[in-house]
Amino acid sequence: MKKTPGAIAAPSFFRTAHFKENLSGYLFILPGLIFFVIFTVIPFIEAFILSLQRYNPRGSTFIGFENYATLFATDNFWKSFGNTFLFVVIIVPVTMIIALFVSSRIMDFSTRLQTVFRAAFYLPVVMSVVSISLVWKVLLNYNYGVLNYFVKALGGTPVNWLGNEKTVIPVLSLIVVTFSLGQPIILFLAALNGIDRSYYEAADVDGASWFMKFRKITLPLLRPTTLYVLVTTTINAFQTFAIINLMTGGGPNYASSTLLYQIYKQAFTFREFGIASAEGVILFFCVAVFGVAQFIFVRPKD
Amino acid sequence: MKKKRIFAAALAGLMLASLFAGCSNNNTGGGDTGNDSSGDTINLRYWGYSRWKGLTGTEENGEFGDWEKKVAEDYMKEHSNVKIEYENLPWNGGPEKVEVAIASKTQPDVLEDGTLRGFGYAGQGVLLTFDDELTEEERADIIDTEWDQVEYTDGTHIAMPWANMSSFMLINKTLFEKAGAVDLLPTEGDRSWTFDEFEKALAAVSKDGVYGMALVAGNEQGDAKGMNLMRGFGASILSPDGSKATLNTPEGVKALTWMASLIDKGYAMPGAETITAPDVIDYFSQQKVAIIDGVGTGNLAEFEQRMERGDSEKFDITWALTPNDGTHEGGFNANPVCVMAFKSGDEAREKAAIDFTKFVTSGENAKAVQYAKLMPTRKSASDLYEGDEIMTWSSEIMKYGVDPGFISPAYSKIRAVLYPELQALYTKAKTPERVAADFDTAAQAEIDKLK
Repeated sequence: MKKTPGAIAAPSFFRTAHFKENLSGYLFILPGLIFFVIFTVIPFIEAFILSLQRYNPRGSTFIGFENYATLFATDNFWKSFGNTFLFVVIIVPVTMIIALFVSSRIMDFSTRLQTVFRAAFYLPVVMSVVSISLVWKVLLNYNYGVLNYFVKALGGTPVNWLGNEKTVIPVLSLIVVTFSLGQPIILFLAALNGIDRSYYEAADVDGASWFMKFRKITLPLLRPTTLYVLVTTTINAFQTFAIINLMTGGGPNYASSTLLYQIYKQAFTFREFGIASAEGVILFFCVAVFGVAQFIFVRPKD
Repeated sequence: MKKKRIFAAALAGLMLASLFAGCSNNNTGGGDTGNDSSGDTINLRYWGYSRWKGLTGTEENGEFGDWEKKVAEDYMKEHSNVKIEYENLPWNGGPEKVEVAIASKTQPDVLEDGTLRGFGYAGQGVLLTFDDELTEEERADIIDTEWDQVEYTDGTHIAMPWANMSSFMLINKTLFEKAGAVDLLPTEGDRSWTFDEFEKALAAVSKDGVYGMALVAGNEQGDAKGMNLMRGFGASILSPDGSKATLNTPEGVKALTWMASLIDKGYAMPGAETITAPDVIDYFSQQKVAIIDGVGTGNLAEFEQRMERGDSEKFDITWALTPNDGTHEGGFNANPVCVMAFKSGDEAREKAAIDFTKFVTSGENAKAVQYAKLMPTRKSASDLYEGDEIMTWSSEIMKYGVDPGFISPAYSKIRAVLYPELQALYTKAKTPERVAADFDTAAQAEIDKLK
């Protein structure tokens, strides 16, 4: 590049005031960044490479996109694909709505009472998913479960909650919601407590109803928290696995099988690591598309 | 400002160092990190599916794995340079743990399991063979048919046989006495019965909250139960050489139709699509089902031990063969239990693994199978159950043992295809004809992939 005579060369980025001011910040995020690269980025690249191979412990063979073609031609893949989205469509809105409703209701309670509710809703979050799944499995047992005991006592016909293709996904989704509420409630409560009370007082003076205050004041000011909760809840819903593995094994007849469950079966039961990696890549792109869409439509408007 | 940067740099460095502190620097590809032979000490990892609690199955505070740890201690006393760590695997999740270990090259050195999965590991080329490792005396002590059952397709023997078991039905005699139907149970000869006789017995006992039996389709475990029932009709899911799916035959459809009808008639517990093999063991122990199929003397020992420990009420147990239709002999999945040694890439470790495997499966350790009431595989232990009625009977019916096709590399996939089809059968999502056809299509596709 031709230098204009007399011009002063721009300092390199590392000598700029911006970099010098933010150096400590860069240093602090460096370990996390290295961790992210080593344990997320590199494994993802390796998984993508493996998805283009037919896995063999003695030496894999490159087969291009054949694993993807095999998946797209398999009925069970599409069933699992559809089930995954069904889980997301049920879990995410139900979790968001209940969490928002509960937070907005207990916001007006005393601090002590808020603490009690926070602890009560957060308790399932810290419990082992294995324990939760096993207890629910006993409760939902078709022949001896507590739920069907009450159904029979009320004169109804016992329901095969986990063995019926129509009920298995809604039931599992609701179980997931029970231990997914804790964190959103804590976050929404913290955000709600940060909203200036004067907005609500002004609205009261103008005669606004509870719903109007909620719609015009609470929701817009909660947008950043809503976005975070939405994205994290969606990612978790896409990755529903433990309760399926423990409670239904993907059944009955793949009715509760999800992409992540199929990844597990392909990899660790069938030893088809190439196909499992291909499914993993597909799942990644599904989650990424959803995440980006949520950021675009829900992010706070400046 | 400068001090702040120095502090930040130092803190970042510390965080980085702590990040990598947990990472091992010892990966020889073929052994667990940190488990390599270091200096003179050889570290072996020994995994297994313990079949009884305590040393003999009767101790009140016994745990699964106590006997295996004792065996390891006995070996270490004689080999001071070998350190062995035992880990008990659960049936649910254990096979997956081994697969993960193999894929991540952290497989154990010694594993006790059956040939059902053993042949799969052999197919991946991760097992050591024993053909050149036995003295004449050691080979002569192994019962010939047991040695044949650990022979892989390439003629090598991929494990040391340890135990075997026939598979039949255990019956809660107390429930039949209460129902006044104990005379419906076979007691003579090889205790076989026809499906008609079997259904009469189920009908007599299925009342007052008790079901005759429970069918299993909750996951791929317990597939042998369904397969044993199908054989009574002359049906099977695979050809003997494992190369062809064979359920879609008139016999197969008849078997499936009959199995589904048991639930409709109230003889089998409803909800089979969510019932797993461990569930049925609990239901039998809790006297909620009167007959449990696809079990062996090992399970009998477990039920007796539960009663002795006070974990279940006491009741009398009798036994019978899986029923047949009068024209087909029937049969059961032969499922030998063996101990295998994995390659590790370390010669000393592999040698120790082979030696320990031989130690676990011979001498007094070969006789330990009695604590789970399993059949021994050594001629020197063949008098283990002299005078024991059920063990003698169990040994005699070993002639009905059938190779279900474990040796097929696609077997693990085939059994994973079977249970969803059975779920569709029991939920009436598919007819028996459609189940048989769809199973054959899916299973054959898996077999053909590996040809």
